[in-house]
Amino acid sequence: MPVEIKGAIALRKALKTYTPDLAKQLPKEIASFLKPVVKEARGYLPDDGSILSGWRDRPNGTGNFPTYSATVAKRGITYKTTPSKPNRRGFRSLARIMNKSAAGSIYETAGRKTPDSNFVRNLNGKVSGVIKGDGKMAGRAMFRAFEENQGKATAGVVKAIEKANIDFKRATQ
Amino acid sequence: MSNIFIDIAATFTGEKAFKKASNSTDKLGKSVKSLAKTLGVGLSAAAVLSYAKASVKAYAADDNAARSLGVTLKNLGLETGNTSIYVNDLIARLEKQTGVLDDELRPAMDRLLRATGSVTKSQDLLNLALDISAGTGKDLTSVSQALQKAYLGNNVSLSKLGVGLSKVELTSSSFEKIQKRLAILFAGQASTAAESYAGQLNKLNVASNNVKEAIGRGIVDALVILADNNTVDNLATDMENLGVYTGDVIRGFGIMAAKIKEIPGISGFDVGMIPVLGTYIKVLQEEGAKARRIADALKGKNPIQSGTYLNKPKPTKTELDALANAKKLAAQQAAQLKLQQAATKISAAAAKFDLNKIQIAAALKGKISDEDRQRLLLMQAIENENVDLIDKYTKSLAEAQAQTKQLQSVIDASKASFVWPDPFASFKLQAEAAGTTVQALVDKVKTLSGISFDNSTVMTSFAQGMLNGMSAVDALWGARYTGQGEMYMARLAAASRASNADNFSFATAGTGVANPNMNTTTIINLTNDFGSSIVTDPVATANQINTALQQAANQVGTYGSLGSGSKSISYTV
Repeated sequence: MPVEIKGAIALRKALKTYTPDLAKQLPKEIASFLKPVVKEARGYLPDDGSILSGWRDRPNGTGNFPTYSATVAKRGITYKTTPSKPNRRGFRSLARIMNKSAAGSIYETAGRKTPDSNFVRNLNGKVSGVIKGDGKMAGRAMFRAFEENQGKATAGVVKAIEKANIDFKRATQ
Repeated sequence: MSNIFIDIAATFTGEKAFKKASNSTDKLGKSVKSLAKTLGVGLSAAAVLSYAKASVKAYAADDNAARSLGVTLKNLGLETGNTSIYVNDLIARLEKQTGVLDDELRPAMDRLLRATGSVTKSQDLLNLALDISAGTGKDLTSVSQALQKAYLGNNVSLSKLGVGLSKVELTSSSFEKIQKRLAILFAGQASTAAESYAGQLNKLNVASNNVKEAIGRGIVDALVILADNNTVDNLATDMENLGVYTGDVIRGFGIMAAKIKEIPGISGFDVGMIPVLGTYIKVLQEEGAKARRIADALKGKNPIQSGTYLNKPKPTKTELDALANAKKLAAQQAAQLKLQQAATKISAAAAKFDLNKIQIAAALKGKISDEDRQRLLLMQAIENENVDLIDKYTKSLAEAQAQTKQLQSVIDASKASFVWPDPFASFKLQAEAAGTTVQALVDKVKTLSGISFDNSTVMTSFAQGMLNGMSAVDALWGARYTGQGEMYMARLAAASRASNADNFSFATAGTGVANPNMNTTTIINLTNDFGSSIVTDPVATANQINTALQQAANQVGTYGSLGSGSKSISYTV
């Protein structure tokens, strides 16, 4: 569950208007806490050679099931430090780690609901991907890296925003 | 796109549903208002009834206050016959001037009269109270109460109003002094407030209230007249009797209409059929309908909307003249503006077909020098008769011309001082002087130009050229061709040997080949290091072969080195 920070959007707007330097600094600081998780998560994605042979990227692939390309999947794990649009419940995310590629998402979540399916069994036999995390926060790459990060990223992001707030107040006093 | 992400931190900005609900409520509100407008006609009957009730109530309150004031005057012994009329007129005037309702003015005047016992003094204090009320924002009742108490010796209430007087002033000064001070402090507040937007609205409110009171009085009078009584005491009984009577009459009309319908040949009922009484009712109905039509025609012309209640003084002749002049001037200005706009439009339209302007615009789009651009822009400004731009571009052009002149002078000065050196000038003189050796010439060339000869044929060719009176450049040119021919011939000979198909021999370099099968076509195919063909010429005679080889050698200079490998040169017969 994300940590709720009140007034963060207003803070970012105020930073942008009154202290542009601080406004540029904040995303960088947030990114510094997200990058290690992303790097770790990319490391948990298997190479092209070690994935199931039928899932590999091929020139004339048939069907709609997305083929796996390690390059694409690794590139798909990334982070975002700009506020998102509000979700259905009115929350806007301030910092986010994403697994955007289709094949990367499949590898991430395969086995959550159907751990005994052929695909998952074959996948587990081929790669040593371990699912870590609970419920919707369980996965093999990004969620695993986040779980192993033990909340350091979250604490860092919150601290960075709080620090920006303090710096802003100091700069505008 | 997949939806796998981890939100590290988030902030709550409100749900969409709230916004939707808010928007829906707004829309509903608008719809209801629209519906209310549509149903306005239907609802107006209820509104009229409500307004009539309010009117009667307003009249009753006003009447009560007026009577109370009259009684006060009488009790104080101030009623001399027309004092009540004077005070009521005063209040009516103040009401119109200040926008304060007589509901407030009458009690205030009543209060002050009781304190001072003088109409004049009360009038002054009431004016002062209005000023203070407007200045401080306190209601007239509070202010008049404070003034009443102050007049009677209790100044504490004045300090609570916040009129800007210190406690010392309030305790040590007499009421007259305080009154003078307050009159200075709040001078003109009431009149200024009355002129403000809020004051104007208050005036409207006053007018509306007065209308209400007038209507209320009319309704009460009408009821009294209807009851044929001098008082309203028996009005209730009379009204009850009237109700019963009217009901009976309506019932009677119903019975009569039914009976009339039973008569053969009569399809419907008309009041006019009733003898005598029917005629009267018909006349009344026509009068009523006429009154209704007049009222419809005058709809929206009630005293509030027409503004007659404001009782504005009639403008003087000077003011009317000034107004007329202002209107005339405004009309003239409007006409002038219209003419100017028309002229601008015509000019803009004409510009589209002006060849000069088109040509200038086209020229400006091309690649031109800065000076030419300035010139064209100036021409354009002249065409458009734009004085500001003409001034601007004239200055720019003068600057550009000055800069060009300066640049030209710099170039001229450079030309005068700089002479291109001829590296062979001194050498040529020495060559012409003769008596020098070939090797000395070659060494000199190397010293002067850095050109060295590594081929004796070339060197010899160059020396011969020089000694025959050619310029150094021409001699070098000739030597280059000689060298190319030499190299090519040497390589061609090597290729010929390598192919094992040669019946050819080269007597000397650059002189051609002897072809034993002269009647056949010989093709020279020369390729460079990269394998691309340089020359492919069909030749038949020895001279043609020689020429082709010379051309090929020249092409080598253009296309690159022949390289060291013999395979780069081939020929077929």
